[in-house]
Amino acid sequence: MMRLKSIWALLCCFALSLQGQVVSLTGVVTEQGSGNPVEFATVTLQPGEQWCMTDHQGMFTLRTQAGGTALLRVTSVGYEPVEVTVGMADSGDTLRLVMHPTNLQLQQVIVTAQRKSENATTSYLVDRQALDNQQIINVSDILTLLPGGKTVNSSLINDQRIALRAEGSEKGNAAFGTAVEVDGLRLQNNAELGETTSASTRTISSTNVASIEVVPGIPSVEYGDLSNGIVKVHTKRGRTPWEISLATNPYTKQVGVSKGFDLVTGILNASLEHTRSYSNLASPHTAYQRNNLSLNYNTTPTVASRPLMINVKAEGNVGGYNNEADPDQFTDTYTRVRDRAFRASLQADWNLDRRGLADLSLQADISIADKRRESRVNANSSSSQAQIHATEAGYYLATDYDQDATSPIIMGPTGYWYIKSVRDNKPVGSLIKAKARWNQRTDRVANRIMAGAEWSATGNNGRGLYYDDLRYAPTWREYRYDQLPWMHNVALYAEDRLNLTTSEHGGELQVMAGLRADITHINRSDYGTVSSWSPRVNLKYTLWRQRAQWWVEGLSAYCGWGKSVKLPSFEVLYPQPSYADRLAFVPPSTADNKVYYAYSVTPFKSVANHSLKWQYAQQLELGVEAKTRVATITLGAFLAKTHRPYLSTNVYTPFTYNFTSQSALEHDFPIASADRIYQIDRETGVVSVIDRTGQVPVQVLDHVSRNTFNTNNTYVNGSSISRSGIDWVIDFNQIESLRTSFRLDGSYYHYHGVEHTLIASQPTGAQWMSDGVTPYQYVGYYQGTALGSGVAVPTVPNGSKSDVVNGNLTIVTHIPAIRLVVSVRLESTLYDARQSLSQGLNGATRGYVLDDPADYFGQPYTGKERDCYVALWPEYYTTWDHPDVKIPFSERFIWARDNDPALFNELAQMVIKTNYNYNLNPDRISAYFSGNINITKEIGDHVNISFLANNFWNSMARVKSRQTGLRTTIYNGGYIPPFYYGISIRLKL
Amino acid sequence: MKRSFDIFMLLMLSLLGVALTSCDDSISDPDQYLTQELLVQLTGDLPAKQGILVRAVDDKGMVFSQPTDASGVATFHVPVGIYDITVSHVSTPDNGWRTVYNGSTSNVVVRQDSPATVSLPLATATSSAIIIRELYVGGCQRDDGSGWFYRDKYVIIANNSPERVVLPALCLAIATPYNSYGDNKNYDDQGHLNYENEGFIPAASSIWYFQGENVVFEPWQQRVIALNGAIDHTLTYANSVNLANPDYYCTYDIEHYTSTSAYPSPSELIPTSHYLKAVRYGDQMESAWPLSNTSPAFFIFTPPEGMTPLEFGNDASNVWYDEGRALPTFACRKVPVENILDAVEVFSTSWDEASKRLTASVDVGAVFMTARHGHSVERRIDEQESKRLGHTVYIDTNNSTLDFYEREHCSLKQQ
Repeated sequence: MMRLKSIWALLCCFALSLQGQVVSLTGVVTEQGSGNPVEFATVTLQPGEQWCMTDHQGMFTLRTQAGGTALLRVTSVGYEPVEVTVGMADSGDTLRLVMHPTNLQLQQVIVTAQRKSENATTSYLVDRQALDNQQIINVSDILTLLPGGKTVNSSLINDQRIALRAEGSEKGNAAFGTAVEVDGLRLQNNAELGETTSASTRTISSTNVASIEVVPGIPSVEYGDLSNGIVKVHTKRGRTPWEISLATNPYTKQVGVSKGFDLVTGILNASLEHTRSYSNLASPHTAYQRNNLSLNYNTTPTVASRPLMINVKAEGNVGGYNNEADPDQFTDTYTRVRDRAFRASLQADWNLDRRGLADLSLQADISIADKRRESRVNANSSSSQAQIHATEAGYYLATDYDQDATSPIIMGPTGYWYIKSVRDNKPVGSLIKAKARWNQRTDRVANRIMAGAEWSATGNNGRGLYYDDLRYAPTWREYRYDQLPWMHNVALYAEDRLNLTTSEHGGELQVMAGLRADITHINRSDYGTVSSWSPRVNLKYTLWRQRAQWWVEGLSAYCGWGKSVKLPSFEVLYPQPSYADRLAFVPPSTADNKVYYAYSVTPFKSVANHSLKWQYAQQLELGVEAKTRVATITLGAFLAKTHRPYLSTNVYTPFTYNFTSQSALEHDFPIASADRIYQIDRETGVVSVIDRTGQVPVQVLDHVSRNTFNTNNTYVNGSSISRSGIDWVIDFNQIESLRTSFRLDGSYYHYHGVEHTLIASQPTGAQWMSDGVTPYQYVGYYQGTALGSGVAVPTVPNGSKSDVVNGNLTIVTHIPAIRLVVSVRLESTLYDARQSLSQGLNGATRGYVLDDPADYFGQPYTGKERDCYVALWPEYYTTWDHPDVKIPFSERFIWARDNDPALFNELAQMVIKTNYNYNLNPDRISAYFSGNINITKEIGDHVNISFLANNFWNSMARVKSRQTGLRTTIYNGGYIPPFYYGISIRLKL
Repeated sequence: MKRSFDIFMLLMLSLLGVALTSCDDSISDPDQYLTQELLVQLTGDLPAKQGILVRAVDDKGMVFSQPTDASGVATFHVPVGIYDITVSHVSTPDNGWRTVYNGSTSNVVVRQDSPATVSLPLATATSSAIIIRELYVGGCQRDDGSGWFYRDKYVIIANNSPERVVLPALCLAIATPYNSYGDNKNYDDQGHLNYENEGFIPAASSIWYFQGENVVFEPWQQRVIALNGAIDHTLTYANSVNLANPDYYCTYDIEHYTSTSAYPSPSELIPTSHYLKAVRYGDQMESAWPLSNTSPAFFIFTPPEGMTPLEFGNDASNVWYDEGRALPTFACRKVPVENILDAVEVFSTSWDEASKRLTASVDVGAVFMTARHGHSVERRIDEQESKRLGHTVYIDTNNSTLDFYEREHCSLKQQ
């Protein structure tokens, strides 16, 4: 509570210091050619980001504080942005601004992601033209357009997720730490069970996107619950013309319609889209569909003589995956996966401009998803199987369904049948956010303070997995998502943005500093309420930007440091309980193949780790931007460390159960098979047989006890991971005689992650002792794992490093006279080096080099050896009898080799070896290339056609792996996209 | 007149001369074939070199056979061409064990200009009277047309002699890779199995063994072993087999292989003493013994002297890794070839697309089988020996090509 008071006290001090003379800037925005007013254009004053909207007459008024000059920026969907420098000395004449409709008659078109130079952190903007040119179907594919990005063939079949500044198999849940917003509404994935990754973007209508801002750098403190940047999608709004989009490629068909309607009180922008993707050309019946309707209403009433911009948005998607119509499916079988979403938001921004208080904003969001998965499969069996539904510990005997339909174990049918299952999954998220901004401006200083608070709640209203008929339900336990508590998060944040003009040539110092506090409350959770701090600072110094006579016309540098905290997902907080089902009694099959199996059931709930801390990331970045006479150059470098990544590990506890085999019923057992009624004691597992005829007394069967382990799961914080990299973009000025421009962009990415956390494990190859009847009695404790997700199991490498350099050359020829843009993009991976690492703590060796894979002993592995098998021993092990006694493995193993062959054979099972002798060799893939061509042509003012061909020369080149010495083709090898083509047509009426 | 007669006789003699000359091997026969001599010299430790049958098969499939002479040479007169030459010779039984001599060589070129001479070394192996009589792994079609059912596998092991055979133990094993098709990474650059001269066959994943201290086969006794479910599968699958029989055995060790769908509890008719036990040392993730449904290399063996099957399976120092991959999944045990009683190599594709896994001293051939339709591979009957002994005797030359054939319906399927 003291922390909150401190924040508010700080804010009040800032607010009181902000007083000054107020001037009004008035202007009118019209369309070039027609002279019609442009309504609902956004007018922003830089620095300070003070804003307003144009009215029906295209008029706007901005009240701001006098002094100096500022950059006025006007944006509207379908128009090129307009920027003018205005003096702020006093109220002057009405500004007259003309906006050009976006088309290919313009002198400049942009088909790649552009660096947002006004930001003090790394951020890129992808506009509608670039999206059209690239024919983006899924928003997650926009990473293609970032520096060094790699083309993917856009489709909805693969639910590709976004991970900024990271690669797929790395540690640290990078994808989970990447946030995605649509018009300010966060796409939540915290309430998803069964996955820990970023939100799916398949339900976002790609034809309705106006622009996408990608912030891989350090975002404002306004954005929390992330650790790997944010992607902000902005959809169309305002009075846009009828736009009809048609797109087709071998695997996807798309049609979209949008229009902005003037409703007098405001403008309603409506968009409707249908997209259908399939994975198999020969069987287009199995498809994923997106049917998206988006309504976006804007109005700007005047409240207390100040404009209040209200934006109400509702978006719904109906669709998903369905293979029911596929003739290749077996009769009456299918899989249907809904991907329905409803998202609504209300945003109100009151442009106050009073006493330094620039505006007040209020936002309320709700998002509801329905991801129900229903499948009907055929099944058959010649023997009855136990269908276990018990959720409480104990011994249970299989029962005929007709005798007891609610039995903890149902004896499954024989013959042929169908199983219909439903996984009801309905994540829900809601958010309320309020913020205020204070502006102050003098001749040289513009200061903006933002303070806000937000409350968010996430939950899941789904029923989880269930079956329509318990007679056929296989082993399964009900786990209702809707009975899980919701996660509530309250965040408070404050941020100051200071712009200090340092010279008349545009020299400026920009400082952005903020602090965010997250307080997370998890109902009925062992984790209770926890809080975290996220400070972030960005600095940008523009040395000059208006030196037209200099070779370097503009030059600026920026740096930033920030900490961001990623809240855990439900998968972390409420992992689904698991059950150990061990056969406890096996009678023989009867003449009709029935078996009354009995099982010992042990339920597990994930062990709460009270020392678990929230994962967070610290990011440092530096950058330089220069505008020269020949090119605009941007260069950015970052260093990101993920601290305390969530790591799922196993916990073993000794356990004993009783087992009764078929042999107990032999040797002239007195009760005939047909007359036997089996019973099992729920507590002891002792089996008795009752004679149905009553002639023979109850027979108690002999059993044996088995000592084994229960395997439970808990989350711990893993070792830190570091990522670093450099992004560069060189946009050469257009060669006017050729109407052609060149762009060189690329990225260098470095990753290093080594895990040292001690991991308990019983290797998969170790289940029995040397006598063949005693379950394995040892648990090994190993240092680290190489796995990036899932339950951690020990591996010989405990990490990896990689260095990748990608470089792209984009050649854009734009001929406004014939409204044609041809862009050719050559993509290359110039350097791709990776190595699995086996490193001990503090430089110690880890593992042993083997002369032969069949060996268990060798010299310590130092990391320099090549072409060798490496074995990993556990640090120590414990036994079933003494689970708390740590026995050093190495000395016991060496002793057993010389003295106890049986023990040696048992301990040897805990030795883990590399798969091949080259696994720990450094790998480097030789350079490889591909090329894409995109052509966009406008026909008149109403028709726009785009054609693309990815990997248009269908490269079959080969690459060499230094690790294995082998050459492999890059064709269909995951290096470059397969040859692909598509065409899209857009009609603007 | 006499002059006319002399001229006539001269013409006749000339014709006779031409006719006699045309009988030379080196000129065209009436079918226009050019023939030449092919000499095959057998080498190796043979007790008697005379009378061993050598087969030469040309590239059109024509088969020529010749016995060797006292010096171990088989002499053929064959059309010029390219030949594959094989020898599979079995010695007369001695106390239930026989010696098998196998050898083969390919692409022997017989040219017109000179006789061809080939030296063929023979691998020697002992062969027991205990044989694999039939192997059924391919499964059958389900009744509802939804695919095939394959958990009704079985093998029949037989005593192929009139003598009582007592084995200290009997184990079932499979070599790797599990299927004959696909890339076999255990071959070196010269096309040889990298364990070819190592004297062992890798037993993958786990082995099954009969319970008890000795395994006794009475004369001509056969044992049916259900390899997945020892129940009556015909109740659900009409094309399947009934394995619920008190005389049958089954691979069933539910505490080691815990999948009840792969290993349903055996029929109440089968005594638990007929259950074979498992020692798992490889692929612990498998829910069932990974016996191929299409093309296994299946063999039976006794552990080395002084070891029980359990000790043999648990011996961590006797490890060999399939494909050179040192993961538990790929761990195999090295079974000495002299301990292998019998083997069968099954292919589901042509030789060009398949790789042998058993070395020549164990099995020099392969039998083809089509899976999913109730077929099995069964050993051929030695008609001559059967007549002599008055009982069905099966051919056992350690050559699956010669010894086995594909049955359209497995023998346990009652038609």
